[in-house]
Amino acid sequence: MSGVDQPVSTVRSVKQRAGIAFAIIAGAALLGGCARNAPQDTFQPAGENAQKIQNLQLPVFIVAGIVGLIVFGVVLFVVIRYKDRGQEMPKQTHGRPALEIALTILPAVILIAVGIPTVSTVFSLAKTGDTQCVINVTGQQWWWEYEYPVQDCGGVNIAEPIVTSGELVLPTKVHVLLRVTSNDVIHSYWIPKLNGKRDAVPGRISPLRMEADQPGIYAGQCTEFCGLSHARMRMDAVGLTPTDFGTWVANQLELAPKPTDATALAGEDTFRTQCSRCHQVNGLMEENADGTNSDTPVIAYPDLYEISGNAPNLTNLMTRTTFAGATWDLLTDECRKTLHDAPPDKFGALYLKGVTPECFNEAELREWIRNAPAKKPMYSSEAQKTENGGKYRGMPNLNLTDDQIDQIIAYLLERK
Amino acid sequence: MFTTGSKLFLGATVMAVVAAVVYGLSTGGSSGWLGVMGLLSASLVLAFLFGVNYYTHDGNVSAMSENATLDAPAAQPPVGRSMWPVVAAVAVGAIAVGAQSKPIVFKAGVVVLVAAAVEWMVQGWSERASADPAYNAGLRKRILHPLEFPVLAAAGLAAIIYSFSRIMLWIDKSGGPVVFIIAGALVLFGGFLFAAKPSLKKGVVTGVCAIAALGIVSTGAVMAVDGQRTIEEHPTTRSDNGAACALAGEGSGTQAEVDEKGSQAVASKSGIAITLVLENGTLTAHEQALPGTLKTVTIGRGNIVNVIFKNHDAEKRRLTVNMGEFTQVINGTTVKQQPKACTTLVRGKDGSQFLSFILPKPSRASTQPYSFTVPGVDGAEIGITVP
Repeated sequence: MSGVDQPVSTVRSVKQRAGIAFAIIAGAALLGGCARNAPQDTFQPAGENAQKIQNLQLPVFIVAGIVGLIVFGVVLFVVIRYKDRGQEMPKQTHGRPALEIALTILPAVILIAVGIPTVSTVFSLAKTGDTQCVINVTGQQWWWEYEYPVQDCGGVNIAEPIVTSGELVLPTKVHVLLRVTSNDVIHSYWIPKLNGKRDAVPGRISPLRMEADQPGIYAGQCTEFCGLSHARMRMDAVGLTPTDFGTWVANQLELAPKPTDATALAGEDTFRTQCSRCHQVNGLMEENADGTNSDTPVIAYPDLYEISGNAPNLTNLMTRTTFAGATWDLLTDECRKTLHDAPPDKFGALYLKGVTPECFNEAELREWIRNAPAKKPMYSSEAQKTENGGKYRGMPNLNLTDDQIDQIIAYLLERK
Repeated sequence: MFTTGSKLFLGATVMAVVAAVVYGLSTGGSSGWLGVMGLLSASLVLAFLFGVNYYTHDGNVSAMSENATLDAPAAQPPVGRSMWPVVAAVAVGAIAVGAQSKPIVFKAGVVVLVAAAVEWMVQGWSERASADPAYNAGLRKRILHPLEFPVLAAAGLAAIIYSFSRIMLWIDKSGGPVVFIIAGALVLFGGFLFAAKPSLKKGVVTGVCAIAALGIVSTGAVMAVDGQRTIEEHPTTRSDNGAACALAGEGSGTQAEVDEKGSQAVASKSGIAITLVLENGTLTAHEQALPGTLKTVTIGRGNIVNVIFKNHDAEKRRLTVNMGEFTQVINGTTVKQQPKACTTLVRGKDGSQFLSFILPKPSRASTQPYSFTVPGVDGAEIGITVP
């Protein structure tokens, strides 16, 4: 007999172990929902519209949770209580009008109770009449561009349009309206702590209201599958007090000065010949035959080389904390942590310092410049360029030498 | 013994075989194989016909068989009259007329002729399939109904749909939705009534449906003859020298559509970025979701931009997008280009037109500023900035 019992015991043991493993994984997943430092947690609103969503979703989830528990509980009770144990078939009845009417009316009442605040919230979120600042947002494979038109943005005068990428900088406690669109395929813009998501569709402009209550960095992610590097199409929204925002705007409007460092000066030449075909740097001038700058600005023509017709403007690259679709940090881990953990009253000053040499995460940028497609999958090899009608989808490998990379990094480090 | 008909086909078969041999030998080699094959094929067909005639005794009823003179299919009188010869004649007439007038008449004639031929053949065969007329009629139905019902249903539906479309195109644009809502409500009400009252007589249901169908088709025919309402064309044009777009009046020459008929697309029209209004000689711009009017608009580089131009003034006017000035070296010659895109002339007093374009280069790349203008109206200008 023991020879027969042994395998059964083993099977039970395996089932028990699998059950324990499942319970541990499920428990860990459940506990994961309690994390307080989740950067894309929709249950931690940090803006007016996100709070409206929170005010709606919390009671809805509670109601749905209670209904779910009741349904699961009843199903579980019936499965256990009335399990087939060979007992006689119970008496079969047909029709319980009172019960049927109650089970029709109750869900209808619940749905109406959920529907009324939902519709009200939808209309409230769509409100744009009290806009104080407008920012145009354009998605492309695989990064976001932000364009600030000429306007009075919550009390800050923007005298010339500003173009930046990766980080959406906005004044706190100001009703900002994003006008979201796309240059190539459909993307979706989502900063969970500040508002819901909005699709970016070529040829359409979709408004999205956004406010940040406190200075800080709010993480986001493209939420519409948009190709090979969709997972690496991230974005950050950076809230600054109106005063700090004014400082940021003034800095963005300044033209890039001539480099002072010798390596950076050489980097300007390299940038002009290798990078400026696609990347715009405001203030970069064509070079005269004698090596001096002419009065003719260098104009990038990404429309000739990129399917999206666009490439990030690098005029103030080192005022940002990330690059390449906000996927990699320009700051070292320590400096990044210091910035992200900074209290609201100290955040602005820290952010406006930009990337300092001691905080510069050079390794990541170096890898990117050396071979961008190896770091972030893109359709940008020569063969794929042919397939794409003679244009790249993302940054190609420029086959730069180590010296050229050193020079470009030195040049970019001064772009603040 | 061989019957008269079988003798004819036997002789023709032999002649075809002989002709094939003679032709093959006289042409020689592989060059005459096509003719030989044709003649041999003919001989096979003729041999088959010979066999059929021999087996059926040329289809003659034997004078010796009393039963055959009474019951054989060949002994039966013709069953009624057939409309298919008349239909076929009309079809041939339509083909002849269509060949000289409209292709659609010709194609319809061919379709009707084929249908008449099939019907006629099946009817002729089925009427003589047996001595029992009821069985013959059933046989015809069994063969033709699977073809007739779907084809007639499709044709009926097409007639109703086409007629309804003529009605919708005749009615004023604002009245169209009302008619559509009423028609939809009537269909819903009818469906509800028929479902709720299954005891309704079949004749009543059929009658109501037939009257409704006839009403739609006859109304559609009347409105088709009267012609559809005036539908405003919305082509947009683009040229590198901008000649046509700079004119206050009608342009000349062929103008390619810049948006490849995208101006007609509902999806594009629902994605309007800027609305430009000409009123009392002043052009104003209103951007989607922004309060107030603007004298300068900012447009994203490389983005598709959809705008609507509304002409509230009395004169016909066009909206022109001045896309800067660029210098290009073509075959060693420096050429200055001033690309423009524009609407056609938009009628006055609330005429409107859609325009779609892309500005791929920033403003500072151009030696001339980007702008919206209305040719012929001084000062009607909205600046465009492309960062």
